[in-house]
Amino acid sequence: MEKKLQVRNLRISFKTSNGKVQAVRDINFDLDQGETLAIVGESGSGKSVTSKAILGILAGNSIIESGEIIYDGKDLLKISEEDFHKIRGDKIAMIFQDPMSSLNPIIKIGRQLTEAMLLKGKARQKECRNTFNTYLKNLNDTMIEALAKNDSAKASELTRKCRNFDKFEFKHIELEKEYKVAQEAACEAVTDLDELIFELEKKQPAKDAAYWVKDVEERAKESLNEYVVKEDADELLSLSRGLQSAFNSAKKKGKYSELVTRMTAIRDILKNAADKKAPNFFRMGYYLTFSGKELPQMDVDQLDEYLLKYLNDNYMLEFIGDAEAALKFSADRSYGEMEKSIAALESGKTVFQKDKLVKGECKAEAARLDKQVRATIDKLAITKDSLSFTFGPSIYQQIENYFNAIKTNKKALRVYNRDKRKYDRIVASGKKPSWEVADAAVTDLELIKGNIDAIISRLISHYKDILSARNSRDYEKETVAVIDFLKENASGVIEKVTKRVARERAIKLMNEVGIAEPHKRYDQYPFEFSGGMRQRIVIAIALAANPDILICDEPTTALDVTIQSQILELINKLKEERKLTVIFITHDLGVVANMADRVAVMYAGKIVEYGTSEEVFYEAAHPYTWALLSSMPDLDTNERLESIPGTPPNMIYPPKGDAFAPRNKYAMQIDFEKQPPMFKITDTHYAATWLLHPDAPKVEMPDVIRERIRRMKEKRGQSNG
Amino acid sequence: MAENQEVLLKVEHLCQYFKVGPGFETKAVDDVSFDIKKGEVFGLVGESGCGKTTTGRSIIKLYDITSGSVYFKGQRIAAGTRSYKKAIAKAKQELKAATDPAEQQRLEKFIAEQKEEIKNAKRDHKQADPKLVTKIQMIFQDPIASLDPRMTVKDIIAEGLVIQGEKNKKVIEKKVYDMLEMVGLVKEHATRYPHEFSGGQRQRIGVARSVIMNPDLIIADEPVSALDVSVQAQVINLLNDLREKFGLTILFIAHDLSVVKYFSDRIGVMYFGKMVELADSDELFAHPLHPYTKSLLSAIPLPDPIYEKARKRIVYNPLAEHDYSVDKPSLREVSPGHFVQCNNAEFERIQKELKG
Repeated sequence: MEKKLQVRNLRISFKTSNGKVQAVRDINFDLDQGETLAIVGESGSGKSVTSKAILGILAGNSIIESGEIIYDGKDLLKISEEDFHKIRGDKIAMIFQDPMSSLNPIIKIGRQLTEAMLLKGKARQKECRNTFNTYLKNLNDTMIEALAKNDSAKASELTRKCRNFDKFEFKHIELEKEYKVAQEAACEAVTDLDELIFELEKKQPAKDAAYWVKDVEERAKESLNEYVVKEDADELLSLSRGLQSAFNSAKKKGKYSELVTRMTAIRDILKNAADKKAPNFFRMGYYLTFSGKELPQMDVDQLDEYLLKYLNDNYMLEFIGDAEAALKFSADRSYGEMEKSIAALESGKTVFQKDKLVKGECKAEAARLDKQVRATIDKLAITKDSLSFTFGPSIYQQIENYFNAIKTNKKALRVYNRDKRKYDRIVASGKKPSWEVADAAVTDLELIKGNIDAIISRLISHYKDILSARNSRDYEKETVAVIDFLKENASGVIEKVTKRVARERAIKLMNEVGIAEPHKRYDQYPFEFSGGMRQRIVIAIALAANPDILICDEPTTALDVTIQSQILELINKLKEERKLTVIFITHDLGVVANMADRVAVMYAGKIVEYGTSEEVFYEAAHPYTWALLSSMPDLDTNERLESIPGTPPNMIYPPKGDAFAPRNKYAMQIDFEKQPPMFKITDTHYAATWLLHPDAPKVEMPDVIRERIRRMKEKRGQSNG
Repeated sequence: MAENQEVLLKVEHLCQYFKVGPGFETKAVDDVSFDIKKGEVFGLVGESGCGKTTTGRSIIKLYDITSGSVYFKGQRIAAGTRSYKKAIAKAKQELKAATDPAEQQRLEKFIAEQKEEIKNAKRDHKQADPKLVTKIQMIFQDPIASLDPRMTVKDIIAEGLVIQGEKNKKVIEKKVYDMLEMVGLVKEHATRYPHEFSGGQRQRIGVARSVIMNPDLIIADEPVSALDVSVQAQVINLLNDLREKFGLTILFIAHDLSVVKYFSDRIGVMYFGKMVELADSDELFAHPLHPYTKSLLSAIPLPDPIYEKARKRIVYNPLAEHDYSVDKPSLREVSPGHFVQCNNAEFERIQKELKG
């Protein structure tokens, strides 16, 4: 299955006045396309911090010590804020715990829903124009370099070709957009009409039927287009004009039969039009821009053939050939640089492997490597190789960390020694001090060196992978992809998100998340909504940009049982419909059981157990998971609840061994001394507890949980039979 | 829970209306009656906005109730006058229309009686024995918002005692320390401020504050809803221990049904200000009769993935479920100890179902 998001060795801490709080310590997980991963844990276990890191909205005092979050080939921890704008909200969206605090109380719901659409729409237009221009320019330059090195006539010929592409491509998009607006209007009018006719035949128009009648009237007008409604345009107009007043008078009389026949006629025209085959506008765009002639009168298929021949003969085949040559040239150049980079990286590695790093030397070497690595970037690749981009900044950051740590370590040791001396003095004088000496907050320099080493080796192996796959590249296919990429950006330039378009989209969304009479609710304020409805609005806002990953941070904790159940159903439904991948953060295990495909249990900044939902609930292996499961009463619990004694550890001084050991009744000596590694139970199920070590005594899951699993099995058996 | 235990709290036809504008009223609680026996835990569940918190607050006299009465240990501690006033108005109209002198006399007598009742109600409501009312204490939902951030834990816990007139500092100190120990905190905590504690510990302070008054009845208004699962268990266990130790009676208000089921002896289900079903907790969960209760029970998430993924929520739509246009509903006892809000037709149907 495709991996949507990968989190590797993530380590985050927060600077506070009391010291460094280690919120997340070395967590790893993958998120597969279309699954729901639940992160469970007590408050303060670092589950929200993890999700905020994915979204790049960590508080200002946070330090990302190591790790990477890979999404779509990019490391989200390293990319610039500008690049993050394209991901945050657009690709990864978040629903927060309290719906009231994530909505603005003095702005109408409608504006809050459309705000981002309008802003993003404008930004996207600009960005698409930029991308289109830069890419075409790069393509042009490479073409000249590859095909016409010293031939200025050939070079200007190539430049002309690229300019022509720019010109007719925009014509194509314009034509296509006009068609699409009309076609969509027709389609929507047909669905509206179907519903209206159904209601009117039963003589029970819905409360808001008048609104929909008006909507149909407007849509009919919009659907007039050369390729949608052409011959029947006059008839359609005369039928649809005044439809609303006809509806009103029919409603007064209570007689709908005349109206129904009229609506059916409109519906038939529109249905016909919406199903009509559209010509190829790309070809048409070229013909209209350069032939200087009117379109010949033919039916759609013939026209398509004719235009294709015209385009290929005059322009396209040549252009594609040139572009392909340019792509190949650029890729070959990049391969050459990669081979050089590998050698440079291999030799540069030694500089960072010395026992004690030297600042000047390190910085110079990093700069040299960065320059070499940047040279490998293929300007014509559509998906950029993000590792080459982020290599420089991440190396610099690690070097910076290293030399900072040398300074802070000295200071920390000084403080520790001072306290220790004081403590020893008090002990020596025969008293027992009420405080203890805190461990020195020393940063492990070897760890940072390890990080640097990992970054370099990773890049080397990455390049080797690319080079080994170099012969299997299909440049023909890539050229087509390049043309599609340009088309897509051109359409982004033309597509304007007006207030009206945004409003329509918003109303559609509100409908989708289950808000009744959305066009009325659109103009209301958040306080006019109940808690569940507010959460639905928040979900609609999150979905507005059509993200692939949805992070839900305790979305139902503030809601009561029935509403909670409705919202969970909604999230599940949307997940199916929109093929979303969901990260679900909660402390309610009942909710987890409902939602999750996989579960990660977090405690004190670490993932202590990780597996599919069935494995974690039926074959839990970590004592903390047991404790969580047994501290929750269900409908048949009668005995005393097994509460977890004590409180989570203070993460300024994270414990040396297993963080859960002091609260764990199964704790062994080793738990206090050494952190347990992740033990593999099955291919998908892991837990970090020494109990799984082959030498550990056999400890069974507590009876309470086993009893419950047995009981639930019986219950299921009954309900199935 | 024995059958013939002493009734500690009796709520009769409690109505609590709020003015929300000229001529408009919200019926937050509408004609709710129940009683709580000594030593039992009575659970009150329902979705947010159904009036369960308002019921709790009306009992402890945080609001002046609109109508109905609340009896605590046999004494009326809160009473409303609306129902009497309505009866008088109705009688006066009848009086105008009445011609028969006997009838007139009866009505006049009736009005005089009702006026007397109003006087009594007002007197009882105002002059309820304060010593008696302090025997009811409340634990609030949000442990952060309900503790004064500028008072030390000791001051917070002792505040009730001081208001009661306890002046001896030694006595106060001893009581506070004992109480802290009882709720699982230590003496050293007394001088700290609420923000220095975790959520579970704060709720323990809230419990200590109410238990120190030596109450007979504790109204626990969603005491664990804002807490993590593991801490939730700690607080529930604490309440259970205190209940055994002091023989406390608890009115437990919550929306988490698993917790309510675990903790309560009897449960009342509220929906839009009305009590729709009231029964022993086992009975209610085994045989829910009102469609709203069924819907509520079907929404409980349980920690079992296979069961959860197959769980179907039952939707409750009052307009589709009931026809109350002619036949008005009321709370009726369908089997011993099991009350359901229903009208005549539904009552007969339920009876048939129970027999068959």
